[in-house]
Amino acid sequence: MTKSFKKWELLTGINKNLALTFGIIIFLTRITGDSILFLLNQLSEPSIFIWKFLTALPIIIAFSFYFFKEINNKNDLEIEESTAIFLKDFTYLIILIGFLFFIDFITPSSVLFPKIANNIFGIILIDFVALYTILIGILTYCFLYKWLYYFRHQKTRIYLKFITITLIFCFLIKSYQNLINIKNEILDVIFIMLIILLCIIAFIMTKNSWIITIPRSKKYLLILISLTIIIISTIFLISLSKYDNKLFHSLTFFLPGSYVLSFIPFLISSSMFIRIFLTSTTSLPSSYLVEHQIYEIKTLEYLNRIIAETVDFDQIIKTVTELACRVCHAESAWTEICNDQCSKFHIYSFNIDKSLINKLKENISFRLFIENLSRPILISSVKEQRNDFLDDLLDLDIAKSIIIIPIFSTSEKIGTIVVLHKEEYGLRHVDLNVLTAYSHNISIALENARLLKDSLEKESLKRELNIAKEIQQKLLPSELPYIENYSIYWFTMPALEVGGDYFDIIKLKNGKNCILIGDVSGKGMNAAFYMAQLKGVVLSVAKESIGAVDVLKRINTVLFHSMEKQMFITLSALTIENGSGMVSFARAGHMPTIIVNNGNVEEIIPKGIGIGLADSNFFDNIIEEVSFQLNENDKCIMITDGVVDARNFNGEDFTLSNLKQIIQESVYSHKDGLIFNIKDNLEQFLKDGLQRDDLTVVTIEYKKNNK
Amino acid sequence: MEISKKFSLTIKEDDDIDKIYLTGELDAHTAPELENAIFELIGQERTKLLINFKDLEYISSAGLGVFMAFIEEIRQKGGDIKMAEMKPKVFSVFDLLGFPMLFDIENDETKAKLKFTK
Repeated sequence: MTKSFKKWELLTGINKNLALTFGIIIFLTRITGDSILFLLNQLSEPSIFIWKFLTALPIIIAFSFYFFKEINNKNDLEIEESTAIFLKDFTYLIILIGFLFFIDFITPSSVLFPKIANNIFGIILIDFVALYTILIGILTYCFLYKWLYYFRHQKTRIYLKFITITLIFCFLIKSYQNLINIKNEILDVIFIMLIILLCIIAFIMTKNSWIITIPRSKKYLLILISLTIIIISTIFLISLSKYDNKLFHSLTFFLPGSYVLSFIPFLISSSMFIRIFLTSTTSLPSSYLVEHQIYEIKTLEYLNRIIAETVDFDQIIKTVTELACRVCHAESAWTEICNDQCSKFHIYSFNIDKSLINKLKENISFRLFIENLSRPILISSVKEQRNDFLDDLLDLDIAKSIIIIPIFSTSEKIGTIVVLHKEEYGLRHVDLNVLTAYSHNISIALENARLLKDSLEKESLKRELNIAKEIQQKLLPSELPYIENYSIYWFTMPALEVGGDYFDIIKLKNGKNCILIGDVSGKGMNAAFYMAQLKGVVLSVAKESIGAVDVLKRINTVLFHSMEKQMFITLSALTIENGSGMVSFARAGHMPTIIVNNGNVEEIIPKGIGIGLADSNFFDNIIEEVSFQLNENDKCIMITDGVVDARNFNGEDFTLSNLKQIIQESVYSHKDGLIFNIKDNLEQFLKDGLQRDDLTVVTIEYKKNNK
Repeated sequence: MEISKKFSLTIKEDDDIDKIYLTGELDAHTAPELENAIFELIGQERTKLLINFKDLEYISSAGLGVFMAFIEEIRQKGGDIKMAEMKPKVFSVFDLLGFPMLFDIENDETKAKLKFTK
């Protein structure tokens, strides 16, 4: 592949250079021939035409081949690259043409007119000038060809073929006319018609929609280029059309009819560039709009990229403010975003001092105007608006025209963008439209950032919840001790957010078993932390305590000073005094204990305040202990407040009386498994309902000889 | 899942007493609002607070904690927190915990207000 490609490249390289060499040799032969013929005084013979034709044509073909070979090797180019190439070619062409004009200008007409100049040097000069003119024609044609090739469309090929054929045809007509030296009116008419047709084709052949989309600076350049081409081409065309022109005569001398080869490319170029000139000139006024839209698309694209890349809320606001300012060529802008409760605003400023913004916002009507604005607004002239609260803008020399855009998230207003321009009418409706479209994307961006932030926070909260739950699970007893004649059952249902329910059975100093049930105030990690602390305190005081009230007093004494002021623990203690049904009960602010005594369901509420609410003097004074005798099948039911606060689908609470009723029913039915009954009832009640807090239930049944 | 009823509070000045009216549910999520309100009042050296529970439907342990958090400081500054017009359900929570032994809780606002003068 590479080999054959290299070979091909080499071949074209040789061909190109070969053509150039061939052209130069023929041209030298031509000059030599002309000189000899001049010396022999044969130059004016009509038969000499064949000599001229045979020499000049190969030269033209060879040079055309040389120049065109170069273009065909070019593939599709990037726009920047092609602009550079066109500019380079254009410059060269202008210099070459300028040089031609220069020669034309400085040479006295006598030298160039073969009839007058009977001079061998004159002849050689004529040949050179003629060749030079033809070459410029070819180069111009190359330039146009390149141009058309770059902006080619499906019909370009046909147009180019037509032009090439017409060019050759016109050349033949003129050569023939010149040869027979007879005025043929039909041929003249055909020639003129072909020229007109060429002009029309050249005018319509290009598709110039691309001009609309180029930036204004490039449009000015294009106008300049096309204007230069038009002027030069026109001058050239005029001078060639004059029969007494030096160039015309030298070309006719070189090869009769060959002036067509220079004439037509310039004709096409002027016609083509008139169109381009017109298009770019007429599209100039709209270019502001086009540029705006292009910029809008670019900024929206940029914004989307920022959204994808940035997770930082502040970074997005910063970028948004800056872009909002730039997109409408304003001087400064600020964005204010309200926090979740919409009580405070965060201000992000661009090119404007925050103190100035604060000064503006001191005016309450201005502040309210911005905060309550529900749709984008443009004030193109603050002066004309004559709103008192806007006067500060003028007085502080901040802005003469302003746009205010509210930002909404779903339907709630979350902020405002204020764009400021120092010129009156500096901001226009088109800016308002762009910014409005822009604000939709901003809300999406902000919403995304917020969602992400929320989900991250939720994630960490979830992790925290899981840890808290784990701690709670570990603190609860994994198995209960065997207590003769008593059956103890319990269950706990943790809420979504850990509530801090506590349950334990400890052995006191005197070997008695003590059942503790409690609830730490608050939720989550904090509650779990206090539960852990409570567990530690309970374990340490258990070995010294002798009864229910004693345990609670000791716990309060230890914990009162170490707990945060707003934290407290409610705790109940029930001591199994002996194996024959004697129990004693104390309560530190906790829920009442329900007992089933001889079939009666009762609440037992001895005095006592929560742990951590008061120091030991106060606490110890208040707390009471009650003792009672349980008979066969009597029960104690201890609960946490999560049970009574459990809320069902209809918004009703479970309540203590509801629980008592369930217990009462189970007493009547003499059924075992009260704990399961309570659990089933609670689960049923909570179905589609709301468990606000952890809930724990413990039942203690007195049954002699339980195994 | 949880759509907790909104909590709100209004503060009315009555001479040197600030009457705080609570509405809705005071739990771990809404407690900070009351906390901030009381904190601000203390900052302004206003320490005679009368909490009206007339429209409070529910109070959790975290809600109770708010009063515990400030009572010491308020009393040190010569003020107090008096409570009034609790619904039975709300009162039972205070009662179980032993709050009536720590705070003056009255059935109606005027009585609670009178407690300040004593």
